[in-house]
Amino acid sequence: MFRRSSVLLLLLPVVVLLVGCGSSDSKAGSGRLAVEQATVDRPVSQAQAALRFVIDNGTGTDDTLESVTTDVAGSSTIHESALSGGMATMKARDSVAVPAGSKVTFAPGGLHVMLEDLRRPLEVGDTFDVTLHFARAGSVTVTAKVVSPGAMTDDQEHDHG
Amino acid sequence: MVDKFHITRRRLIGAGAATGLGLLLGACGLEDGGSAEAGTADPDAGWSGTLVDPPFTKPDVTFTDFNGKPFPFKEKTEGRLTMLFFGYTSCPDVCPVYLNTLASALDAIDSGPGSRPIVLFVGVDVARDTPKKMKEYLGQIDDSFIGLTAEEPVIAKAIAHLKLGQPVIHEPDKDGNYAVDHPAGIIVFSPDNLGHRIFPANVRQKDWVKDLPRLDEGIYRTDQDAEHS
Repeated sequence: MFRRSSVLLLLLPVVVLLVGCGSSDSKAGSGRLAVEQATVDRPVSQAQAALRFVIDNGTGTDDTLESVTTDVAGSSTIHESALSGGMATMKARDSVAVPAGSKVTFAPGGLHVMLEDLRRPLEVGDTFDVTLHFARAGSVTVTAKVVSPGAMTDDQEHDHG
Repeated sequence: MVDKFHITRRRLIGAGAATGLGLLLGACGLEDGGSAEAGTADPDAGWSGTLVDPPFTKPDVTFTDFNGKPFPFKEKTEGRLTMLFFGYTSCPDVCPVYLNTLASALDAIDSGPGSRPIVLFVGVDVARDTPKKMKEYLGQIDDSFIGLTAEEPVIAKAIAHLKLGQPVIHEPDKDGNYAVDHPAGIIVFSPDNLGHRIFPANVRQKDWVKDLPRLDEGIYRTDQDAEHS
């Protein structure tokens, strides 16, 4: 209906930046699927919090993250934020592909697990268990840490200071 | 009952979206500012964000601030560096990160030009963005940030005036939670009361530190920058 191509062109670098989280960083040989750097921003509203982590699939087999569960939240849903046509959008994802030999990074402005209906206050330094459920690797439980809300700093990483 | 309410709201806002998009495509110069043509000076060189030419004027609307007081936008921001962002408080991912980035940039600027902009966060999810919730939300980020609410038509009018896309309230999931699409840009009004630059919400802290003092001093494009230095 409306032409949007020029607007989208302007936003293209941003979109690429934000969805470029699933970069293939092949480290063949670790031989296992690991979940690292699980963090939750201290919630600015006690209703929701964003959980993020890095999935390192060091196996030679493609896998799929199907769901995430934790006791601290009544519901946890895989979401993906994006910038599109000048709008910030967020939608639920049924699953996330984790190709063999790749790392998938959940990062601000991209993939995150939205924890809702928090069952207790989360303060910086608190830790709790989260379990990621994979199609092949099964359940992987890791400890997530509550960190200060991040900022977009020079190194583009979440500032966990 | 609940579903009906949300469907109604979605239609209402959806009608505004078409208007906003039409304005965006019909009149907005954003596309032109994003890339430099060969042989012409790039007004964005050395700047974050995009030059808006002609600049945005201020929308003539009155919001309600998070203390319940009227906030006539033009009067309250007259002559002041002002940053306007449309978001929603049930946004756990990008909104807090972007606002926190800005807060840390203001800490870094510390004093002098650009250190004390009026930062306005308009909650477009009017059902959930109550004054109380906005106060709690922004208070976790920066005490100086001001939360604003209004009836949907008022918000839609402001957004249309600024040629941004209108919010979309999505259908609630089985738990009653729902996502909201909202404009991603932050408009910065200079002390001349014009919005010369729009910034992507994911601007880096160092870019705010570089650009806000200049904007506060009335500089908003590269060629003008050269004249001043």
